[in-house]
Amino acid sequence: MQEFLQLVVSGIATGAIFASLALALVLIYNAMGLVNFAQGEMAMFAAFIAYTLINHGMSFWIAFPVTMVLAFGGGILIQRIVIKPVERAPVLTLVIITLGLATLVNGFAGFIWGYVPRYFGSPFSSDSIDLGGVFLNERDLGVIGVSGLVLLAVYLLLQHTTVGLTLRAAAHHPEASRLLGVHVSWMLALGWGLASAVGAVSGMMVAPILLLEPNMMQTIIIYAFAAAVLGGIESPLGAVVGGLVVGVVINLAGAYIPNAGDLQLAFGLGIIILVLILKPNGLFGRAATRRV
Amino acid sequence: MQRVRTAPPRYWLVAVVVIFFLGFPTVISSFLASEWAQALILAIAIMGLNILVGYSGQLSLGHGAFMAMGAYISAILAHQYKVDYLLTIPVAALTTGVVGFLFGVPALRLSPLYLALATFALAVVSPSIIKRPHELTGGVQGILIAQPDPPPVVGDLFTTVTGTVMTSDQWIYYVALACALLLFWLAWNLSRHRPGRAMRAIRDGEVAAAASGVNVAGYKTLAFGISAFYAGTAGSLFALSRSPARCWGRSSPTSCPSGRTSGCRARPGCRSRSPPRSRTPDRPSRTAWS
Repeated sequence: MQEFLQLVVSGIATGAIFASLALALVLIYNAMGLVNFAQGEMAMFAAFIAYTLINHGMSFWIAFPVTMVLAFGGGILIQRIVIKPVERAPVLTLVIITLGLATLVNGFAGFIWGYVPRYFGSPFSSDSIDLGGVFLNERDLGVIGVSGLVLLAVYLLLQHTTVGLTLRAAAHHPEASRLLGVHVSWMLALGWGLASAVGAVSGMMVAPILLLEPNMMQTIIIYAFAAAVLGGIESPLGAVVGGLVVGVVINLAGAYIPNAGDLQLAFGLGIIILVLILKPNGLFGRAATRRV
Repeated sequence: MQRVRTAPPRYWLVAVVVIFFLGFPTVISSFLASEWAQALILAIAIMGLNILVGYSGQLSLGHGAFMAMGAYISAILAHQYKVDYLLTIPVAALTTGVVGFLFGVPALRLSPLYLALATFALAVVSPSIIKRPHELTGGVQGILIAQPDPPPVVGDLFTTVTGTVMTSDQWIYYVALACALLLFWLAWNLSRHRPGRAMRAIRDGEVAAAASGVNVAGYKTLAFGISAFYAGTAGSLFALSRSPARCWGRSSPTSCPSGRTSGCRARPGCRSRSPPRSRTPDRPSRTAWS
């Protein structure tokens, strides 16, 4: 039982990382009906930026917000330069463009920092806290705390501020928002910036666990896809719940199913396919209506 | 489109192209011939992908998985069961085609974006699935298969025509060329007849196509099957040819000179270029869930 609880907690910690990345996916999906295949690579790039800042003597807790701001700017830049010209293109074009973007960012990171895995120090100690017989790792708790704060901040921003309201309005009803004086195009850019910043959190949280290298996020992004799909790809809350569920499930599967090691990634694929076939709208999504 | 379709085929042009490709390896080095074989193999895979994405409008990012499947079927048959490698090509192609057809059934339910997501996940996950049965697939090491030598008849013919000995690189080039021409002819006919028109109609307007009596589900899965058939052929040829530089994936992009002569390793990290990518160079997982 103790082992089970510990696995659940560490599963929630990894799940929190997936949740951040999944939330980033959802933000962009909501903004323009597009799954951003480059989200993981953007997060990886942000982690490299944080790494560079820390290497130049900055403390992690200063580098963390600085990186988020830089990632925010980078996201807006990408939307303005790469995405805006093809905003109205069909899905195929958009998917290929984000895939190309992923390759580009990946290659760029490799060009700058190389493919040798680097050690990224964790800001949390590795001590354990005894909580009624269950030993909780401080790193896990730290990851859960930081991700939770960021997710809460995004929630407050989206639901309780004017910017959040215009952001949602621009995403859901671009024409009506435009009539009401919302700069829809810039709101989309803002969405990209926000997604990029939230994704950056997952990058910075994952880098101390995995080693930092350009291909770091390639597996994480699959879990994030699984989380986003499980939550219904348009629901921010669903992304968070989905992320936690995926994190716990693969953690438990890895521990209790013999020889599951490599196949954990296959669980991610399994979740994606099962959800898409059995319940395409996920846990929190609304059924899509289609005009024919 | 209309103009192209009604224009009479220019057979002389086809003949020129075929003769060019037939004669080409006799004037270039054996190494270049093998590079051109790679180009032909990728062309086959892309033809297949084009039928699926271009004609039927279904987005697959996981075609590398089908290629890998074709490659592994060929490699396992040739290596463990000592089947003649030429025979393994149709076996691999047909098996992959059937699997692709079956894969197309659940794909019917997915919107384009979700299909892209699912197939992308398939592409990333497939190396770890392939690695699993060590005895069968050789795990991370892959399977090392010897490059086939040209059969005596063909070799003798080549020698009488050009006066040089046919290398196995050149032989693989000709095998790839034969497959490419055959499959091109098939794709050409397919796209200009009923199935091709039906697929285009589905791509442009599914409801309208269904209203016009097109069997939407049937043609969509058919497109998946045919496309996988092409990918399987390409993968099979890919395994039989060799190009270690590409097989080794991103983790070590340099070619290994020994592999260049000894044959190709069909290997989990094997990256095919036809889909945007099948990623995940095989690296040891660092944490339990990476």
